[in-house]
Amino acid sequence: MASLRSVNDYVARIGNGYFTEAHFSVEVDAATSSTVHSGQLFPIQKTPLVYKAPSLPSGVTGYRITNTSIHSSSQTTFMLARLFDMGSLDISTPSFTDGSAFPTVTEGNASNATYGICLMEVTTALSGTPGSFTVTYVDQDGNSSETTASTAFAASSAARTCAWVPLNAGDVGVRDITSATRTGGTTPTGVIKFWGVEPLSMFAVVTAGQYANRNHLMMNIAPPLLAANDELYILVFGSTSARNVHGTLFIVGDQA
Amino acid sequence: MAPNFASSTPTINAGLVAEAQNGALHRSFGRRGSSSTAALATCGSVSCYRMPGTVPIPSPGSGVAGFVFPTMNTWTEDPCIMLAGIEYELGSLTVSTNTFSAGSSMPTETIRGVSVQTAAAFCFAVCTVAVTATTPTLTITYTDQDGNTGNSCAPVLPTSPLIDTAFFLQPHLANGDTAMRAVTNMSISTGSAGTIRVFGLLPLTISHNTSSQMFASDMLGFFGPDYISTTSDKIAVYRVTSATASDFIGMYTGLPDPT
Repeated sequence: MASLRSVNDYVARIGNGYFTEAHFSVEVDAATSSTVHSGQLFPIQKTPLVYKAPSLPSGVTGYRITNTSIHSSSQTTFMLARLFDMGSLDISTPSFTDGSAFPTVTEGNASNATYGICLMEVTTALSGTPGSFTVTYVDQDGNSSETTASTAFAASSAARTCAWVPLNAGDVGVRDITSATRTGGTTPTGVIKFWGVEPLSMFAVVTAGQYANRNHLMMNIAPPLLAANDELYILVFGSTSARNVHGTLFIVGDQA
Repeated sequence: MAPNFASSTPTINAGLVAEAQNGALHRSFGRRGSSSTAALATCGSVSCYRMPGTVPIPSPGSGVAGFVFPTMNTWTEDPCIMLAGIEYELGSLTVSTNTFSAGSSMPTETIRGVSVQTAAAFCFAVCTVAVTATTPTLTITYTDQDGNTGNSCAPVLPTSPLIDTAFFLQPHLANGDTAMRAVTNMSISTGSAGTIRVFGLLPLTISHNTSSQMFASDMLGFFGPDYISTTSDKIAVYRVTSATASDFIGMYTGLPDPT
């Protein structure tokens, strides 16, 4: 377990040089589509990778994000998130390649299988008549796998366009994707990537070009803990515009 | 050893110790929301909708009583107010048979070392099964915030409200009443189908969304009321002031509360 247990601990750690400022500048360089599927009501974009945690240096057991700032060329709501590869669906065959489930972590001194939103990202643009899809998943309560209702893909959905998996009644998240498939369509092509979303923070840039900031230490009281090789992305809600997003992660090295 | 949040004023350091010792919760949640039936002045005035599906809270391990939530954010794409809270079913009514089933009472919480019998100012009548009825009068008999029994409210609902439409009850409580502790009876003047449940909320966050922005409300978080949530608790999310179909997305951080 981590041992930074007070504000003074964090200050001392910084004073001893165990910190870094990770600057990022990413671009969604072309407009995305409004939807991935017919059950979606608002657009979601995913930026390129904003940060990948490096190998742990000597004396560091993990990385604590104590502050995040974001500046964007357009106004909307953002989520900084750690994403887990839950698999992919090539709709042409169709063929599903399985990934990982949401991780099991220690929460409240219990080992829990976690859950969250599952994002569908178009990684290869969908063709003009892509057909429909179903996803088989394990829900937030760990019930036996269930399959979503068949939902139509949106024609010609562009790369980086995202949606979340349309869950069955009563469900609010998934633990695992066990399979996915496509039906119908006319010579359909395209690839969908499934991502598990662990949220680290949400921001609102209320005016284009404005700066948004989140102090995780003071506001979350639980600064997100990253391990080596963890990958962070930014999800953009409610807009399809091309945009750039710049910012800084202030990170303190945790200790045993 | 982290201090117990229920018995002492929480501090930043206490939260850090609790998280470091036992591990915090970080969750995202979301789903599609449908349109709802607009409210009338006779049934809450503001249109409300209950997100279908509640957010479960995992079981804590040894030495942990439950979780408090210093951070909870919700967002939807349409301008509205988002309300999230720990939800309790106070009672339900089967419309076709006009049969009432009792639920639970609002809980007793220990806040800053003081045992508090809570009452729900945020109380809603929710059509968890779509109702077939022509401008029905829903009569709810309840126990008020002071423990007095036998008061009633009687909102008049719109005809055949859609599933998951919620009606805000607080404006219709008896004169002088501000909240409900429990529901002791429900009946409806007419109707042939549907189920109406009365839910009371202990609020965790209230956020105001404009069409492209989010106001992340932490004001009810770490330095506000500390409701210690356990496995049996579930978090419900309501869309308020809008009847338009919309998607929901949210996240929360939960800190373990040591025993």
